[in-house]
Amino acid sequence: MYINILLKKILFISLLTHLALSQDNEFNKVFYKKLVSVPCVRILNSTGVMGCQSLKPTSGLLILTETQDLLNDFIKSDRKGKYVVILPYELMTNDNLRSLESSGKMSGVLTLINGTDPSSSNSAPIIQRPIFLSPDEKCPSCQFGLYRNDESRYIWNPNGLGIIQERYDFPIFALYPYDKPSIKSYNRIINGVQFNERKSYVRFPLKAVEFDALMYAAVDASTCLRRNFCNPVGGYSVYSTPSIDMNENDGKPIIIVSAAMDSKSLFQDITFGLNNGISGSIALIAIADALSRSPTPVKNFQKHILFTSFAGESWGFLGSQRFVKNIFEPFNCIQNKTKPTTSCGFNTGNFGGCTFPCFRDLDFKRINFGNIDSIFELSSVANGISKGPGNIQEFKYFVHVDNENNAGNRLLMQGLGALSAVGGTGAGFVRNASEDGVFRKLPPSSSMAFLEKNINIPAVVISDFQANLSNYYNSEYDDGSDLDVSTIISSICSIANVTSQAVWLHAQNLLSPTSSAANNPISVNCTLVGLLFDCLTVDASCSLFDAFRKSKDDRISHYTGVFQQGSQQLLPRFHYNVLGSINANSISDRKCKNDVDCEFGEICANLHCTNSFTRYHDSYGAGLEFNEKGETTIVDPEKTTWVESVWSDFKFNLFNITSSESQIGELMTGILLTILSIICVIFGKKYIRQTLKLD
Amino acid sequence: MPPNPSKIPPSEILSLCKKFFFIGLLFLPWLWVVNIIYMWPLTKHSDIGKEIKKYLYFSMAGALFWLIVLSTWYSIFVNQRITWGEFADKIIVLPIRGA
Repeated sequence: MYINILLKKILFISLLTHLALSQDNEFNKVFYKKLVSVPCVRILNSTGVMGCQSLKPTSGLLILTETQDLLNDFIKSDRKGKYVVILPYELMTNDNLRSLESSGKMSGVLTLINGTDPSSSNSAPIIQRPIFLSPDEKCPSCQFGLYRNDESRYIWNPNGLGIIQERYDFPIFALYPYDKPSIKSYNRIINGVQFNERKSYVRFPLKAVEFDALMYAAVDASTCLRRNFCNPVGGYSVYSTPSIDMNENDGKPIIIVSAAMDSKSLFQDITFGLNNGISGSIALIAIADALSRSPTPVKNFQKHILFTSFAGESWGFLGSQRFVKNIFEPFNCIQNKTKPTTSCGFNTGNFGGCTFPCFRDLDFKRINFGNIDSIFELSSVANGISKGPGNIQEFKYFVHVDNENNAGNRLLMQGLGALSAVGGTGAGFVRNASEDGVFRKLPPSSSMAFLEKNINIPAVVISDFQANLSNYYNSEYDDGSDLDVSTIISSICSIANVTSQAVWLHAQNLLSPTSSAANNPISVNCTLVGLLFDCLTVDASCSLFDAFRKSKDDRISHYTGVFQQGSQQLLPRFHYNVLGSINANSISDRKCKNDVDCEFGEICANLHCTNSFTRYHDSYGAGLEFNEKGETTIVDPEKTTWVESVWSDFKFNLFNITSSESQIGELMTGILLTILSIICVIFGKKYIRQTLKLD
Repeated sequence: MPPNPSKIPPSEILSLCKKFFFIGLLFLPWLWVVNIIYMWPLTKHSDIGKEIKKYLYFSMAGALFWLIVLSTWYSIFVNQRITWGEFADKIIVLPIRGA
């Protein structure tokens, strides 16, 4: 009797330990090699979904199709089983992805962005870097821009693959070796492919990968917001001015100097956005710095100068549209509780804010939209230098305007041109974008949001491109590795120089078509440009980050991210601290960690309480609003309503797979063993009972 | 194991069978299913067999009715969940991820 119970107990305990062991990581580590995952995620808007999703964990044999022909062969082949297809980024066209999907042989895609062949001795690249590649639309964000109702819109990105806006119901991950773990993962995968090729895909075991990338959100933005399965795409813009006393009724015209601070691409973790994003915002900071060294303080000029660094511009102008909406429309504070509430986490009493609608402070009301005099916008400016004949550096930038007949626009264009003329004579290196006889109006830009409310505001968009957006617009290749770092820095520096001089003159009403750079005391500090460039690209230990950076990753993602009330990401914090210090009226000795440590009206910039009119401003889709309960709702489905799905974890593992025949064999053996052991137990029990005479 | 009529008085077994049926009316179709499985061997009982059979048929009809109702509801719900929008999300206990 007791022995019987004991036997059962032993059986039970061994079963439990077996179960526990099989859940254990050590067990998994033996069979699965964890890889660094750089996934494409699900994005939704008011009308539907885009991006990637994998409802069930999937797996497949690794296969590499380097060329279109190899890919076509694979699609047409009568191979059995499921494959994870490694595609060079250039082949990531919608047509290819759709035919892979309908072939039924593909369980996931790995996008090969760069990397070398680990087995070759001279580390030759597996694929060539494309000359141009943009996963974005042919006319990016045009449906949300100033010309959305125009019948024939100019196509700014003719080479765009248009895959960012497509919906894929299978996992797509990126292969992008850049640091130790990602290089290790990459090598494992490429070695796996070569292993499979050596075994001709028939001699098992072969190398396979397993994905799990379940995105919680489905259907559309309003559905996932209701279910609490998504967050609005966005973040925080930063605006800053040296005019500490700027107010709504001072009647002083305002010059806006603007840039976009972030970027987007298919794989958010590796978004770099060097040209589209970083270059303009570096130029903006450099201009602010140059103007702060003006012999007469710029706050005493006839015009205010306001710097705006917008977040989420690549997502249909999130930052600029919300900023303009807030300063343009009359603001009504419906409820102010002065203390943090569940729906609005700000101590609004401390900063003069409002509980509903939720704003930490209402200082944006001090900016009178009617006073805006002109806009200087810096688009991508990293690539303004090319090698001309005789290997001589050639500088070339272009000024885009909405209307060339607008006298204000003409003045800004001519002024910039004149200031950029080498030696003060001839045509300058800042040219009119329509000098080739084609008038294209404005490229996708922040100025559009301002012109939407008043089309007559003189606005110039300064860029290094004339007819097409940069070659790697919103792509993972926009990392500057095709350019020389010193060339990028001098490109940003020279355009920042001309723009700062133009802004300086214009703020005193002195800008003219014959303005000359000679005698202009304003010049940009190119060393600062270099430092900013390092900080925002490769140097995690940069001194400008000291005040607020905790983690020290080698690489900073310039992806927009999601809007979370009161929590600013790295890039807005960077701009807030840097611009806050540059435009400071006075910097006190009092140390601080946060704005709350300082007095009313002060901000905490670079760990010091600073008297500076520098603020964060919300940035999320113009079609979204927060209601009284703090929930995001869609108020205008026609406007931008981008939201990003929530997820819990990504699985991305490499493992050895056996053939389906041997898998059936294993199953059969298992069943047989179970039957055998049942028989053994029955007979064993009888035998024990008999020998021990238990009955 | 059905109740043994040689140990428990048949009248008591019959009243138990009736109780199962009537309590089952309180939206408890599983109780009817239990009733059928538990009592079925007793339908051959000479004394109370006929009566029990009657209640088991009632239980069966009830269980069948619920099966049809629930499976119809399930198929409607699964197919119409998205169209119903907010209402469907409200009546759901655990939100469904990714669909």
